Amino acid sequence: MNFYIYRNFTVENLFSRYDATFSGYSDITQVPEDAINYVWFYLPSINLNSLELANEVFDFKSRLDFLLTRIPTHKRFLLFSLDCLFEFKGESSSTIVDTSIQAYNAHLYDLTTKHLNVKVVDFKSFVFSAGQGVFDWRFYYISQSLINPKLNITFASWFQKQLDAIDGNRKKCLVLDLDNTLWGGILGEDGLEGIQLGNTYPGKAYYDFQTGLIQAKDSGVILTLCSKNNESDVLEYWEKHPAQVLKQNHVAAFRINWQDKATNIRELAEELNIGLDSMVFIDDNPAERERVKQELPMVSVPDFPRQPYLLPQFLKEVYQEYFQIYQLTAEDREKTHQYIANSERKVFSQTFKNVDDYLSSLSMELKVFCGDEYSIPRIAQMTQKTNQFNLTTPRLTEQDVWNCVRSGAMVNCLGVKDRFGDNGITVASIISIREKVASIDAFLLSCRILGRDVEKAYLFYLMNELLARGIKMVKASYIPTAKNKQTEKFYESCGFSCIQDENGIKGYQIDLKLKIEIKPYYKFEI
Amino acid sequence: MNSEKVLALMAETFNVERAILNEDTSQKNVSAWDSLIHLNLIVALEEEFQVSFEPEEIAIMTSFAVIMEELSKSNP
Repeated sequence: MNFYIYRNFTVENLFSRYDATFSGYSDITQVPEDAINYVWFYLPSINLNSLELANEVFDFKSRLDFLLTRIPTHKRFLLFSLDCLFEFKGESSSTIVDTSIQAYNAHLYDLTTKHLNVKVVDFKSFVFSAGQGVFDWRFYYISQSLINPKLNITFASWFQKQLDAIDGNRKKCLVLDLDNTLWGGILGEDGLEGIQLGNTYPGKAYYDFQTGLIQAKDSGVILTLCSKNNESDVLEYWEKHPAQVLKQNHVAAFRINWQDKATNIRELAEELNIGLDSMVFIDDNPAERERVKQELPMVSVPDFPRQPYLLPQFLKEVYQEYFQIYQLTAEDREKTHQYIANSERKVFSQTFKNVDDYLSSLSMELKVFCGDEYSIPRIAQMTQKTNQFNLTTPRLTEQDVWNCVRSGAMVNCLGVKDRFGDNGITVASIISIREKVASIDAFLLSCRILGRDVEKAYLFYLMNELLARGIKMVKASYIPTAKNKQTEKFYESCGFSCIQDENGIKGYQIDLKLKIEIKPYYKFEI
Repeated sequence: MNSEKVLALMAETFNVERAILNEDTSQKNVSAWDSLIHLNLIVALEEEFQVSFEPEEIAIMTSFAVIMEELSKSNP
């Protein structure tokens, strides 16, 4: 059973797509052990007495607090926030119901800070997007549905987005056109003075759009530009236009030239070392969008609004569709900065005689973490998001990783710092140990750190650790996916022997004898 | 008129083969047709035929025959 749902009204229709089991109405006595996730989905009843309604909400809180003491702390517990679907007020100044609901919702968010397994699902965002028809009297009276069953499908896709946001399943990069997208008008024709951007419509709409893009960037979305223009014109404009809020340092990479956009987007993906399927392309020109759709079907290409006044709503929808995140990790916040530092590293690396020379000049500091409250959210997030350098591609939740730790596995990750900045935690591994045999169940690396053989040094470091614990036999495997081909020979290159190969799934082992020497420029600390 | 469309919609909603449904189909002889599925069926019928049933009608629309009768009332 994937979800066990505590509820006080009919919700079966809403979750028909999921492997879900439901509590009795308002029943909190059962805590089935085989549930993977628990869900708390209570809504205020339809009650035309405000005082009773407010009391009911207070009662929800006590029930929830009691139930929380019984839910296993290593399993995810999703709490739907409350929204009142119908209220009849005797006096319009009465706030008793509002107050009780606000206090309840604040309490939910407070719980998430005390219990790592608790996450809040913002039910209001569903009510808001579903609009007027969310509650239907006919269906309420015939079936106790508080949510119109006509919205079953809308609800399911909304709920899936909330789950994705909690798991950190999101796209990574926005590719933005310039003319008539970031500002009104065409720079090459209208000139600096002719561009619409500023305090009055339509310039204000573009200004707001840019402000929102900066917030998206601050929430970990990588911004890039792809425009048919003269690069020098754009850079000059950028310096001079007073209302240009989106600055050059918000942008991780750009292609401003006359090359076709599909080629440019491909180059951007390569430069940033991200997959094309993690990119979203925004362009006002339908012909450009069509061409990118044709040539790069893995890139997401939303339609662009015809009127500038629709831009803020458009940005919100694009963000919710592709980038919604529940909570950022410190790494997310730093991401664009890291991608920019990486481009600098690329330029810098060209002035050295050999790779060793370059690598030692980076002054790398490698910090090894054990799986704990600090590192596990990031490890889980990496397993969800890492596609290219991922040997077995397990998709794990925080709770799954905690379970590995509990079962005695070596759960580690690595923070990588160098003279250009802190890349944060970028390598993770899970090694289970049974009767003196270690198996590497997960080994993955964020692509922004590729090209420095940190992964090899880290693997050797772990092998030395195992040897120090008296473990000599290490097993490993490679499971091919559409994206991880570059890791196909990783274990071979680290001295493992391939002992099995079935449909591309390879099994490896190595017999550890001596401590492996690691190049001195990989400075490990614990 | 609509009887084939209705039967197809019922089969889809109940998740059963179209062939096992006929004009005698009712809640009594289809095990999948519980109260929740009934709600789904009403939603599907309302969306397909752009109609809206009253609670009293919904309560009695538990057989193919009554469904056809109620549909013809609202869609003369």
